[in-house]
Amino acid sequence: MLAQLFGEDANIGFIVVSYGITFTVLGALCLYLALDLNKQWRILRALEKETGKQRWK
Amino acid sequence: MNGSVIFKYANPTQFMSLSKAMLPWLLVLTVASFGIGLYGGLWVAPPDYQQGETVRIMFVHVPASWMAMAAYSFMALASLVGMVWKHPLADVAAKSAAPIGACFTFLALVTGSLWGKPMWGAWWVWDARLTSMLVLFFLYLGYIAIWQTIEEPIKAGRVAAILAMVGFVNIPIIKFSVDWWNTLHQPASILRADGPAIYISILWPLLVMILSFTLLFSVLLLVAMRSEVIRRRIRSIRMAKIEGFG
Repeated sequence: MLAQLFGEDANIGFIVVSYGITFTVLGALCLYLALDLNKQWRILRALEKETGKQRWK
Repeated sequence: MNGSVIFKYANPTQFMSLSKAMLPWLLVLTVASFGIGLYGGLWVAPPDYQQGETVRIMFVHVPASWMAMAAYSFMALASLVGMVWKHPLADVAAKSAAPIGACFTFLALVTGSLWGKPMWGAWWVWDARLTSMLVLFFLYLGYIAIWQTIEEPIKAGRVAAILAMVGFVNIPIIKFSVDWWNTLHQPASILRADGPAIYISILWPLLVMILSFTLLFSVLLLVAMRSEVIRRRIRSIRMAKIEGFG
């Protein structure tokens, strides 16, 4: 598939690594931020329950 | 700038409901834009007559570099708004943009290096453009370190805002480094007085990828800001709880 995309270019490895690193870093960042948001919500909900505060939306 | 417009969305509760409504739409737009951009960049765009297939690295390198500078400009502007108008969300926005901007800067440096090796024959040169981008990366790290080391959010916000605003001087240096100094890095190819120097079949996927990175930045910024708003609410509830016991 890669050869079909880029032909017999000698620099194909550089292209694959560039795209690989880019989307790995961006994917990891997305995952980290989503998990952090989820964690903050869980802490807030537990605290609201503990203190009897009204649920914040 | 009209103060009432700035404070209209200053309420964190209003921000939370607005961002909740916006996020799914922005996410769909981001995925669609990446789909079109990657299709154009990897399948449709022809190899460059000088760079060959290696030109495809530009479809991730250029958007990452633009977003690295745009995120820092956004951070400096938000810091200014926070300092001058004491907008409660400005500090949150600036703080949230920093790790995202740092990731884009890291990607710009790494993909630039991966392009440089086959094209220039070197992974790195102490060229004005490359060096000023490395300085930008350190500025991001310094800004993040300030938020990590100073516990009190108002004090941390002020110190970090000063660094963000002073560090903004680096943005025009990055942009014009290729004009002011004799650099190995090529001069501007898109934002030029006489129009882009790139052929349309390569230009349109590049512009779509820049749009995709911008949309992704917006999505990630909103998610990070939502986390930070909740974090501050947790802090205020805990403080109130401690004061209640005292």
